[in-house]
Amino acid sequence: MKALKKILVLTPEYPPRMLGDVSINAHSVSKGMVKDGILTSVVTFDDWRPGETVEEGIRVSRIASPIRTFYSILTWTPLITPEFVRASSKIIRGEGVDLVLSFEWTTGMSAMTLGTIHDLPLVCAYHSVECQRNPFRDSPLSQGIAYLEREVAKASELVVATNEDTAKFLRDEYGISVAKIVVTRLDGDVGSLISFCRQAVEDHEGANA
Amino acid sequence: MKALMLSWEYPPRKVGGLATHVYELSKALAERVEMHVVTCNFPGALELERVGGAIVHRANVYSAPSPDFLTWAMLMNASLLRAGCELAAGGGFDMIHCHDWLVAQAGIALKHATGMPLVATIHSTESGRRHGIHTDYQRVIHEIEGWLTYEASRIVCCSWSMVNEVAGLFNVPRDKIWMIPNGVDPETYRPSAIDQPLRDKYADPSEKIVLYVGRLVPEKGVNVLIGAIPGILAAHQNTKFIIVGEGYSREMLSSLSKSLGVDRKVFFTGYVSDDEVKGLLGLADLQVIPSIYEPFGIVCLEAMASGTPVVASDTGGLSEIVEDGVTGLKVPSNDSDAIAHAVNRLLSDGALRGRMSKMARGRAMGRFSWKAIADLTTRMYDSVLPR
Repeated sequence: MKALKKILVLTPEYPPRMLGDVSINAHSVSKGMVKDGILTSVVTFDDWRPGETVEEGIRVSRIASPIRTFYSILTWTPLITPEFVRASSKIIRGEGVDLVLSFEWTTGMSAMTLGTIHDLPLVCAYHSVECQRNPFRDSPLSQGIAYLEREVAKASELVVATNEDTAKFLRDEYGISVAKIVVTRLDGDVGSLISFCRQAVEDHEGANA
Repeated sequence: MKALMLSWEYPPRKVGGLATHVYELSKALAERVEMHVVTCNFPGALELERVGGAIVHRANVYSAPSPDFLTWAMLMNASLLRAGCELAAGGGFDMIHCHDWLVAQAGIALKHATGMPLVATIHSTESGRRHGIHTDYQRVIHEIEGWLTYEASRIVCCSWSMVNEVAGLFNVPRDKIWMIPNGVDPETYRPSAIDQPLRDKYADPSEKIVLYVGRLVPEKGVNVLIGAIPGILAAHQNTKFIIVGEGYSREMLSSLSKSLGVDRKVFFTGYVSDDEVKGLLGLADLQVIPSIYEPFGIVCLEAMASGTPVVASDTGGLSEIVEDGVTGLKVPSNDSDAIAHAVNRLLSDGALRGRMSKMARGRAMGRFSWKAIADLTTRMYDSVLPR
């Protein structure tokens, strides 16, 4: 049975670039993975620090936006996707990867692309979803974001919600099966997340058998 | 060899000349290459179909709500990317070929995910279409075009004018750019007998017909043609001007023809079927292509193949297609008086129209056949494959 030995974490933010909890939790999860003996690679966005480094045993690839003009978050996200895919594919072709863990919808398209082309199991993590964040949830912009969130969740083996509210919205608004959703915190002990990821790798292999 | 082509237009979904280009090119290439086209869905069109050897995959691109066209285009890319991934995951592909900035993001992501080489055809540029870059919206498109030329191993441009434009705008090394012209099917576009019921629909029997076919957008210069109409009517009162096509300038053009007092002589048809366009080419006395910016000018080639004499702006690709005084008449762009003079000359001289009609068809059938274009494209594909 295939084991989880190498993980690729895709996150829109990672220290020192910190906009909110996603950065802190992506860091915390990556450290927990390394502590558990899992070879961990992080691909993240940081326009000011592009390049590859190894930090606390974690290989970190920071990509920059290929387009300098910012139009909207919903155009920026698809435009950054090929860069996430480029940096990630280099890692996958190099040391190999057993599972892709993506944080939030902004890295979801990259994760789906990598999962399909390289036949990798995909786990996505949501701290919140669009209908929780945006009071104008019926606006086309908000609905476009919700569409991508739903598509990523549907394509994932497992959907991690960091709180019960988000899990409820994923289930009720996006129609994600309860069996696929797990609720767990990502800011401390990540033992349960690692167990879920291990299970996803085994399930993926089982589905392919 | 197996290629994956990405295009946002493919018949029956047609916005400009791109749909016809991709349709004809993929069909001709399919005789040499296993060809898969990934494109947008369209009401009534099949999700998967074989068209003359090419396999066409239509992805659902209308599920995601979008506040504007640029956002829609980005989300459309997400859908094409997913469809392309599912196809490429099956394996066996050698390269990706994408058409224009509208599918750049999907093409570049597929290149990096699969490790396949990417080639791109740049049919026109935002800077050319807009006479420079003036807004952030235009700048995003301009930057995507530049990014695509950087990521692609080869760039295809359809005229030397476009080669210079792309090389200059994006600092692309010239040896990376291949000039491969657009083509025309000489069987589809050929001289035909006048369709009398169709003629009667648009003009009196005594009226001569001057035709325009294309999008109604500023860079096509339809306003310049309308500006020439009073000068043409002064010499040839019995002339009808048929303007075929749609676009956001339509209302402005309609107002212009009213303000010049020529609206009774101008017929805006809106969008018409391909068959009707062919019929109109068969019955028109001449076609005017008054473009201000024209990377190639496929409608000019279609008119030439149909044996319809042309008056074309001496700009971009049109300059390279038309041999002045031999296969048509060239006029300076943005010059209504010059158009009026050239149209009057042709309308007055039936023998000249006849000579130009024959010469034009001969030129269209040689250099611009889809077979010749597919041969060149296959050579270009070969050049990016690993040795």
